[in-house]
Amino acid sequence: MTKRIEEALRPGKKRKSPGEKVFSAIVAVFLICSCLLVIYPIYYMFICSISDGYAVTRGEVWLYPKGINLKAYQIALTYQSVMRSFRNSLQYTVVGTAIATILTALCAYPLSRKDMYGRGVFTFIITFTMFFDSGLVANYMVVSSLHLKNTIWAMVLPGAISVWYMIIMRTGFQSIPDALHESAYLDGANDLVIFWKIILPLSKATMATIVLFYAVGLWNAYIPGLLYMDDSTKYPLQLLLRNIVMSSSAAGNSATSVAADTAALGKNIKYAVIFITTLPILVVYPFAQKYFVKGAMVGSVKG
Amino acid sequence: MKMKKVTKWLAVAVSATMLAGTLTGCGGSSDPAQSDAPSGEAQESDQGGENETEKAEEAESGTPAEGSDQEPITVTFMRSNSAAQPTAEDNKVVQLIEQKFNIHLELQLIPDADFSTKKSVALASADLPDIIMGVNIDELRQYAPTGEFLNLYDYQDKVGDYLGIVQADDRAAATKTYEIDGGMYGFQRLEYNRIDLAPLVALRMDRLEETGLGTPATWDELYEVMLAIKEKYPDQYVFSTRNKTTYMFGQLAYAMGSGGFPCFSGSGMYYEPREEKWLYGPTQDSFKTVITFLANAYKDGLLDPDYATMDKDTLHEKLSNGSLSMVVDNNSFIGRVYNPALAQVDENARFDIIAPLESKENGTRRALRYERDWTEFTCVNADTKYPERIMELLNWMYTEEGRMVTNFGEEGVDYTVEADGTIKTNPDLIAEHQNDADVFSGIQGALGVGLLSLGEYIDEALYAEVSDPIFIEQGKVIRGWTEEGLIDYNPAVPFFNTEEQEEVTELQQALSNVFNAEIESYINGQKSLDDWGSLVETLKGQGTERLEELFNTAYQRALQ
Repeated sequence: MTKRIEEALRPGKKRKSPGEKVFSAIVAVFLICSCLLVIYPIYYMFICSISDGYAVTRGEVWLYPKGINLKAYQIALTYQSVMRSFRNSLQYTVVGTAIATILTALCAYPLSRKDMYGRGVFTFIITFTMFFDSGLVANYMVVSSLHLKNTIWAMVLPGAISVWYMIIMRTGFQSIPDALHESAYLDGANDLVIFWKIILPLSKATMATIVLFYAVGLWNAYIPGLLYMDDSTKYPLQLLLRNIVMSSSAAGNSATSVAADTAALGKNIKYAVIFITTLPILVVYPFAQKYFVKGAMVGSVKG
Repeated sequence: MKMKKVTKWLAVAVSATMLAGTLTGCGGSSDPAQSDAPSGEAQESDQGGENETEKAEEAESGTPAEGSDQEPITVTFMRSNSAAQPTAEDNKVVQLIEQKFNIHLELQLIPDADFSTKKSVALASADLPDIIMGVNIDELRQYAPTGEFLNLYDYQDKVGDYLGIVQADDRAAATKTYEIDGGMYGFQRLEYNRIDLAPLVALRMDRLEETGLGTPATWDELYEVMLAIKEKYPDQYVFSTRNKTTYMFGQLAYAMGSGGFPCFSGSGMYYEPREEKWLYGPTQDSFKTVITFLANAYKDGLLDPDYATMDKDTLHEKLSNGSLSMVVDNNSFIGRVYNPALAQVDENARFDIIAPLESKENGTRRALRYERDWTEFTCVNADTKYPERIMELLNWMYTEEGRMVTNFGEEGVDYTVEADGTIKTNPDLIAEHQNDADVFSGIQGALGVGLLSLGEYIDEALYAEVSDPIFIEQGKVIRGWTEEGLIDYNPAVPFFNTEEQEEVTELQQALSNVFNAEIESYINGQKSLDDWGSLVETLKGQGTERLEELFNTAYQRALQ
């Protein structure tokens, strides 16, 4: 008995009971399975992309590559449009994220201040747009009539402020004590200075999260590219990728001539293109994902 | 203090930028030529007087314009872009058209997967390019009456070559069905020389030999062959499909003497040549043969139980690794997919098509192939500034010269014509694209020619040069069977007026809901075929007779 009490009180290693050990093992197995579920599709894509096309067609490639060759990559890299779209997406993401973050912060800050005149009305009007969208055609007509089509602005302006992210940011700003504002006012600072020198530096985690949310959203967006870009040299990557991925399903199914039937993209080439274009994100993501964890906590604790 | 100054300057700068932006915006919208017209218009200087004179001269002569004589213009041209055959933006066809017509085609190449969305938004908002290729029959019928497209009959002197083709005896009846309120609002994509293709029964011939049975001539004999194959390969199923259940019915029903869901159609309606009228397939007595065949095949382990969820990739995988021995699908997959993949693991393994089978029960021997031409159209924006020059250009694509350019590129450079009339593609061009995913698609995309690029009057002769000879042989066989009357072309659905169309859509949706909810249980044996009559009655109760009446009324109207 005394020994058990001593063990329990001893700092550091604590002996696990058999029940805890079983529980830990189940958790470990569950997590490993979850990881495999995520990793396997990427691995499968990779081994298919370096395998012989016919072996892939026969469904023989599932654990390791067969008939290893890089022909699919040679072909995929000759697609001029892939690299061009990659550059476009990068540009839209960088510019769009900068604009969206600035505008969202500028909208969120006044709404976070309790003393702002008409705060409730503004919040209602802004939140209203979250639930009632004008629809695809109306949005298209607005963008078209503003002559934004075929410009980068069509990609970054229509979705510049996400109300949901704005609310997250506003909640983050609200968590900063009012006393800080008051003391800054007493020291002669105006709203812009308080925003720039006090609120933003204290909201780095919130800002980083919103930046990531916007960046991921813009990187994955293909609808604005489809609707607002007529010039294929300005297409974002996702539009191109989607076309490649979908080529073997709906569109490819309705072939009614040899010409259309023949123009089917090999599975290995398709996967090579997807892998090339996804690789940079796969590399960057592990370093950025910690902010997502923080972002999930923004505004979750009150008081 | 310093901060205050910075803020002031910032405020001034922002205000100035906003003012400049507003003024620029106002400037843009105040010029109607730039704001409302299709994008091509903005690129031309204001020379309306000269242009009109030229148009008058052209109209008088009635001949296609030569580019050197005419003012250069830019015309926007939207079409879908296949992932497997990406069309180059500045391709050979675009260059040759610019040389000949002084028209620069500014291509809007919309990804194939989302083309219908883009097209729908453009049509619904009436924000169209000068030319839009790939308008389907339903869109044509919906939007032509709204005045979005030019009527070709208003430009008869410019489109004589096209009208000559579509109003010739062999196409006149079909063309009539595409007229809307007496007008013709699009250039149809037409077949000039296509390698014949049809969804037919394809069998593993090596396994047929193993069974010791002869090539089946009837559906019953085919069933016997499948049973014999199953006996030799008890762990395997024998056949499946790639696009869910209604597609499977589409491939089998007509060939078995019944009909419904023809060629990717989701509707049970089909044209029955024996009765010369449109019928709803599943309620016909003849359909019992089809459902019985499938139910037996399921029970005997011939039909892959995954048939209802199988996609194209999975089906091709099973056919290419020897898991399945029979398929009813486009013959083109045999030489391109199944046989090369099978040959790597078994040099004797090969699929081949067999002649249309006889249905003893229904007294037929027939198969169905896709429409001769495509039911998609190239339409001209009614607001375009250059209606006549565009009509001339599109008409030219149906002339001998235009057809050659839009299917093969530049003569002497990309191809030559042999003494016997055979088209010979430049060997350097073939070598250049040897390492592409597909040689044929690579050449066509780079030149901007053919069905998936800018071709309107399709000639697939190039394919004969670069493809497996089995295609060409099969194509000739299919042509022969078509001429013998064993294979029929799938006719176009008749044109309905607005009220009829609404009723047809409603009835088809209701029938589709009932049919799709019930049909699997008859195939997989959950419901007995003795109860088939109750489904037929339910379908009739949903208005099949009214649907047939609507189709036949519209069909008769088109014939008149």
